[in-house]
Amino acid sequence: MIQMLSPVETQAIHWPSVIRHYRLSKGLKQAALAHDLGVTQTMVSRWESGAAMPSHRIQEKVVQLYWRAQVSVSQEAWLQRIGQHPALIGVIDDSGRMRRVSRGFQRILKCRRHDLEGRFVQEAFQGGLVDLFDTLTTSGFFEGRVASAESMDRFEFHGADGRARTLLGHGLHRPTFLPGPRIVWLLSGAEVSPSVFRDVRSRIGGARVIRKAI
Amino acid sequence: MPQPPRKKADVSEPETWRGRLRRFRFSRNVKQAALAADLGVTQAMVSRWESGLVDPSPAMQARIEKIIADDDEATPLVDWRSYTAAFPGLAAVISQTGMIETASRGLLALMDRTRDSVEGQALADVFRGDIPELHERLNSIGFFDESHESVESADKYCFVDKNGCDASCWVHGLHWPHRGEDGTVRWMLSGARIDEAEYRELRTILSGRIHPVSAR
Repeated sequence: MIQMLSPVETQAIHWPSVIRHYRLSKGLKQAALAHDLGVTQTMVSRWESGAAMPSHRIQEKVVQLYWRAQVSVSQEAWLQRIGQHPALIGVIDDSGRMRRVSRGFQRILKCRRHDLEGRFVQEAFQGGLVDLFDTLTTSGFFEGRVASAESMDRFEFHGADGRARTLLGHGLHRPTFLPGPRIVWLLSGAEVSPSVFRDVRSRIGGARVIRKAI
Repeated sequence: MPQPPRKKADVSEPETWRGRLRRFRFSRNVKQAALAADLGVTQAMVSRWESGLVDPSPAMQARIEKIIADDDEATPLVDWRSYTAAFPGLAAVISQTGMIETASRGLLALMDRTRDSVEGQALADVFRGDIPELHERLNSIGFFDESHESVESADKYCFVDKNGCDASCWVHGLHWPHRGEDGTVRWMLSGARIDEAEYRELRTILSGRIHPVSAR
């Protein structure tokens, strides 16, 4: 199970972004969200402008709404499903630690679960994936300021046994809330051929594109 | 996807680059570092533009215009369906009746088909063999009534590509029911390509073709 966070880290979430992003992506007016949360529209407005900080109870409710908009099962079932997933999927926290990796991720890197889970991206990989983590972090991904990101990178994996493996990975990234609440990075991807690598890079105009939250 | 209200810029007053950048960043909660990453410049450069000391180069001005324009389209929360559509691996959303509602980018690339030629089609019109059969199996075990947490499978995908050529490949699949906002249960199909040897091995492990995990 994912560990709970200390209160200091909890404050790192940028609530004005998260609340506004959730509201606009569901096409809700401030008054409608206020009704759902049982507060006044003025309160929602103050949270979104940063004039007031939502209480812990409200933060939890917002996280629940956000979760429900993306996934229909419990967090345990979701994490279990990711572990079983045949494609390349990883759940990575704000320190870069890989909390859960899919079977597909292990298959592509020809490694075992413990070669990835619990390790840090910065230590297990070199090159594009590390740059991506840095870019996401400085873009405020773990604060809830990023809606999604797309990437095309060269992953250079260093196995615990000293073996190295390189692959061209097309990635789709989105933030997900885990208890705390904290935002984790849901990385999903696929290994691609050099020609797809070039096509996607030209489509997204570089190695990666970060789509900001509203 | 609902569109948020657009703010029309006041066209009568020309705005400085300093002002435009700051207004864009503050109204969208974009950090300097994030904008710098998108433009391929340093954060210090963005900071200098915003201080009004220098203006961006003409080429950079065009890129900034594009980013601001793109952002006016808004970036919605990535919901389960758009996540599936953009998924680089193999994934699809399929209705109980067997219609392919959404296909992932990876699946379309594998089949070498356009989105329009796959979405809205019946599974049986796009695939032959294991996939339509899997749909029947899922229906018969009550998958669409959420009887199962997930179903694992090893399948041979047989389809016709855009040139009318028969193609096939081996796929390790994981499937789960997803209840959407409208209350209807859909089949979330996902998978990854494997070689034939692994396919055979998986089929032995799964003792047959599918391995359902019952819902608790």
